[in-house]
Amino acid sequence: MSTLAETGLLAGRNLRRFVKSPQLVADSVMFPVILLFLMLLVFGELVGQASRGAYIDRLAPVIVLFSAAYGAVGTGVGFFADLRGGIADRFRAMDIGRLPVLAGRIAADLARAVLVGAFTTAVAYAVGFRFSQGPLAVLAFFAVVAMFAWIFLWLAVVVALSASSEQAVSGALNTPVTLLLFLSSGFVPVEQFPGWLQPVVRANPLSLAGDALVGLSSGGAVLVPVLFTAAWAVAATAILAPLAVRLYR
Amino acid sequence: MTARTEAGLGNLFGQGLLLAGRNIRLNSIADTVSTMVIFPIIFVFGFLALFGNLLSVRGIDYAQFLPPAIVVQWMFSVAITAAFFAASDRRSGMLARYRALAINRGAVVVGRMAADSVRAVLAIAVIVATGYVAGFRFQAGPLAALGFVALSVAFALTISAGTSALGLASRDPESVSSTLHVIYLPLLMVSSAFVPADAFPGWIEPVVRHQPVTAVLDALRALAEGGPTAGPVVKALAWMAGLLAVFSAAAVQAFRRAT
Amino acid sequence: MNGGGVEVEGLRKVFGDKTAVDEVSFTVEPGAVVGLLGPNGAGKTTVINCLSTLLPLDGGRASVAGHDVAGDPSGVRASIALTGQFAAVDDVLTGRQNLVLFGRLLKLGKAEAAARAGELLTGFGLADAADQPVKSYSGGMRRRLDLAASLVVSRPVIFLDEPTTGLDPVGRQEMWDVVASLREKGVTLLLTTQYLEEADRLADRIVLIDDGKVVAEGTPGELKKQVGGQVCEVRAEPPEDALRALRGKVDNVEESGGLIVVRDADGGTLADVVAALRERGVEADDIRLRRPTLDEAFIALTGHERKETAS
Repeated sequence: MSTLAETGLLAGRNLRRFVKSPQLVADSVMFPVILLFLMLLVFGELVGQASRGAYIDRLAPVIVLFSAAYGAVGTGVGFFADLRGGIADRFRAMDIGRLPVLAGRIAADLARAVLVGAFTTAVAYAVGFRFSQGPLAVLAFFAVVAMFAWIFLWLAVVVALSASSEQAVSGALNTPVTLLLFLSSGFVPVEQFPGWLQPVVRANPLSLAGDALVGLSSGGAVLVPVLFTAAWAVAATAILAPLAVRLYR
Repeated sequence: MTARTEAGLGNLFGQGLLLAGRNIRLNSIADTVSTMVIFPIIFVFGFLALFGNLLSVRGIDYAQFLPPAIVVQWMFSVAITAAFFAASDRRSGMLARYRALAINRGAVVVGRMAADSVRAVLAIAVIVATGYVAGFRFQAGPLAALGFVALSVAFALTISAGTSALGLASRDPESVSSTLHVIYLPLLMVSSAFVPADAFPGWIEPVVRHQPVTAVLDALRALAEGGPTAGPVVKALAWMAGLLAVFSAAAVQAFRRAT
Repeated sequence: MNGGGVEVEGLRKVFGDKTAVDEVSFTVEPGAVVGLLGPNGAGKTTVINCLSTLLPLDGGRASVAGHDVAGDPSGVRASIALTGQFAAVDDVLTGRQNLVLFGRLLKLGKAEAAARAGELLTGFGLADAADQPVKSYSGGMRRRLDLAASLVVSRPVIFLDEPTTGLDPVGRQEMWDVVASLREKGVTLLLTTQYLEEADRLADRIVLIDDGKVVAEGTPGELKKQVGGQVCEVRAEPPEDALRALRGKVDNVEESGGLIVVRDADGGTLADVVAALRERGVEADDIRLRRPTLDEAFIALTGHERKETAS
């Protein structure tokens, strides 16, 4: 079998396992939706008064990105289990290469991030979120989501390959994801942060990808934030992918 | 015959402390440091960075307002951890083993409560110390500060009774803790934890004002800031007493049935 | 103390609308080893849970070492050691820490608990791994530590719930040796198992339960006898000729998997078989008379094959 076909097969297996586990689906779909409603409820009035435009325009993209990053914790833990469990051995016995196991995991989780994102934006429609920039922009919106997820998936893979326990995997991934969330322009505008923090907030991939998604859904700057997000993705690939492949051998 | 190993307060507390030591050792040090030290610090500074300026416009000193909210959040986290371990002790057969052992019937409960209290106090200490760096102050004297800690721990133990009932009724620690996360998040966020009740949309304000988490937060803030404290503290205690009655009855039932 | 026996009379346990244990009665004499044998879901563990005071009885009565299970549960707990199905020991603690904790819970002094833990670890072949966390133990080691944990304080009655389920053959053999040494010490043992071979080897008496009811009780030999007399096996190649020779001359002839089996046989049957074969000039590779196996007894007594659990 070719590497590509094996990857597709394994990605299909991972996706099916996800779709067939009500627990997993509920966790990964319900969490962003609950967070969306809660944030809107708790901070909607406050932030709405302090910034231009409706809060939901900004909030929905950020929740989509956050759940993609947060989903990477699941990727890390799942991949760690793949490595430690008997499944990896069985695949080796079936003469399936190691690369498809890795690529299959990443492909499936990219698809999952986009699916969860699509569901979250659909729910956000009910509370005022709109795509107003045409169908091409919608496609670009989800392409940016995938690009963003890509960064964290590689991070998750590297962590899973170098960690010693499942707890260590989720610990090592939760910390940066939570930090990025707090230090982003997702929930409040950059100007609301203390001055010395603002450069960090601006350079945060979550802020940049968030800006790109806002531009692609409700309008605003698109080119610059998309380019910066792409730069992050390229940098992450350049550093993390070779590292992952080396660790994997 | 050997010494009596079941009846008596000596056994209750002696065995309870041994089991508390065991419960505490189940969390690795690395895990405890990350969930009980690093994360509370990130949350205090994170929320301050996010919402400090926004709320100062409304005349709220967020460094003073926020730490009690993070404390309550971590009391929930202590209770969810308790449920996780209750379910995993049931799954692993440890619970059955303790129940068939000739030890005091209440020792397992005391052991759980003591371990939860230790974790709660650790989290409170970290959060208050972090708050101090950011500008949080106890303004009503040492006695009120002590009351703040005691009320927080009591709140952790109260909800712990409820979450443990759920944990004891299950054998699946992962699903218990993810279910509890879905329950606690709205309870915490739709309270006066992160923004005052009047910042909520009008239709939900009454809910925010009259739910138990807000009552506990109001009491904690009163104990930290001074001013009239008796009213909010009594209201919080009344809520907690009611919840404890329901939760502990459920927990005792679940404990007796767990094999 | 009334020795260390176990008496169970008309025990019933109901979960919702399912009767898990239905009028179960049996006795374990002090110092005896009794095997509670049955397929998965037969109610074995429920019986053990009732006897170790984990579950209240819904009917009947039971006493352990002279203490009534319902009336004096703490007396029962002070007389028993329970080793449950799941090797319940703490993974993150070391073997030694696990044993010391149980000793201290049962009111041994610090030094005494440490000494006892050391003794048990050596006795169960765990001395080398004593200070390793249990998560690094093999299945067999975990099981032995589990059993050691219930022996920290010596008790007259020990319940072992499926002591070898999930173990590899080496682990199983080690566990059997441990049980044999307990029996030499005169401890009363009630063990549950799904393995006929295990019950046959370890138990003085077997209580066969199926679907919550006692189906048969006796020594392994008695149970085999209850199934009927002996079995005559004839091995011939090809079996068809021998089968034709025997039909009509001998009763109860069956063929299964190339082997001819004559049930309810005795010495006379053997002579008849030999005569019938000689008459037709059929050459047999092997003819022998044997007692029925416990597997055959199980099928005969419960009316179905025992359910294998995935291992």
